[in-house]
Amino acid sequence: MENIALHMLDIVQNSIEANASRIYIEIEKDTTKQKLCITISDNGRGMNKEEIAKVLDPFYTSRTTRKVGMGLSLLKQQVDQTGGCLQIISEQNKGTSTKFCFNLSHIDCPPMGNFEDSISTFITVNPDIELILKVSCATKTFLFESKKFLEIFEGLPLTQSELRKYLYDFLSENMSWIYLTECTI
Amino acid sequence: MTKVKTLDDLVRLRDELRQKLEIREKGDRSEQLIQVKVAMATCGIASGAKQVMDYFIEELPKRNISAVVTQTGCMGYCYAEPTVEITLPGKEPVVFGHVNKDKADEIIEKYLKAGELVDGIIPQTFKKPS
Ligand SMILES: Nc1ncnc2c1ncn2[C@@H]1O[C@H](COP(=O)(O)OP(=O)(O)O)[C@@H](O)[C@H]1O
Ligand SMILES: [Mg+2]
Repeated sequence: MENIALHMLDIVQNSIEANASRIYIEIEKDTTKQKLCITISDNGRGMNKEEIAKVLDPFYTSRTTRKVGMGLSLLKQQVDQTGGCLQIISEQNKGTSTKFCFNLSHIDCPPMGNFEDSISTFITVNPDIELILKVSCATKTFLFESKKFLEIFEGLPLTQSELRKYLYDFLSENMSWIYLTECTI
Repeated sequence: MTKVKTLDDLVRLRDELRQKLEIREKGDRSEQLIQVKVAMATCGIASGAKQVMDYFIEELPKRNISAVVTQTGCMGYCYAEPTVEITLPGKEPVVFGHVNKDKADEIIEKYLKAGELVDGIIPQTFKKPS
């Protein structure tokens, strides 16, 4: 994957495929360690112990369209390269929480990418999935609920392009500090 | 325009928009819309599906095409990512492979506007290899 924001989208896709109606994304940056952690939790179908044990095996997937699952094993390989980590907690019929961390100062760490861009596209094409976003770094925190945003614009004949732009501008206005080394200007 | 940083700012923006948009027609009923589904599983994202999806989101309204863009998981055509499934109203879905911006532009101009087929269609017999 080209950047961390795209990895995030890929993990979010797992939640969609698990039929989640609510997804919580937490992006946390530790400025001292220059570490970035992303947690994606969903209320989807979850996994049993057997499935969790197999999940990092590139040859495991529950999909029937292709015999090889690769999102999580690819991510594992990438975080390992930067001395980061990947952790999956899941309970059948309850949901799944996937957390991964990258050491931003590591030479092999992919760029962060554009989180606002990925998230605004995601909400635009999945308006029925409730997304809760928390971004934190040093003393700053930003909390966002897609439902509250969409409620405000409900009933307006906006195109997807316009909606995406308003989402993007709003998110950028509130969370652009995440890209700064110390999260302060 | 002033900064939009809080929910109150959003409400203000919404009220401004409401006035501007009053003249705009409400969109078609969804069953009459063209459906554009972009495959967004790992192989799709890794080969640029996100940019292709954004391209459709941006270009369709610009070209006055009533469509709704959504995402799907892996359709089983990893060798041909990014793939896009398009359903014209009343027609069978058609899957296009190796879609980049140029291909997407061609699909919009030929298939969406005129119903003309373009290269890159994945034959249905290739579906779901086991
Ligand atoms: N959020 C989740 N909820 C339920 N199952 C999951 C979740 N994330 C991953 N899985 C399981 O792990 C498998 C492997 O995931 P992944 O490596 O992303 O490959 P793929 O998505 O291509 O199948 C999935 O097929 C699914 O069975
Ligand atoms: Mg996956």
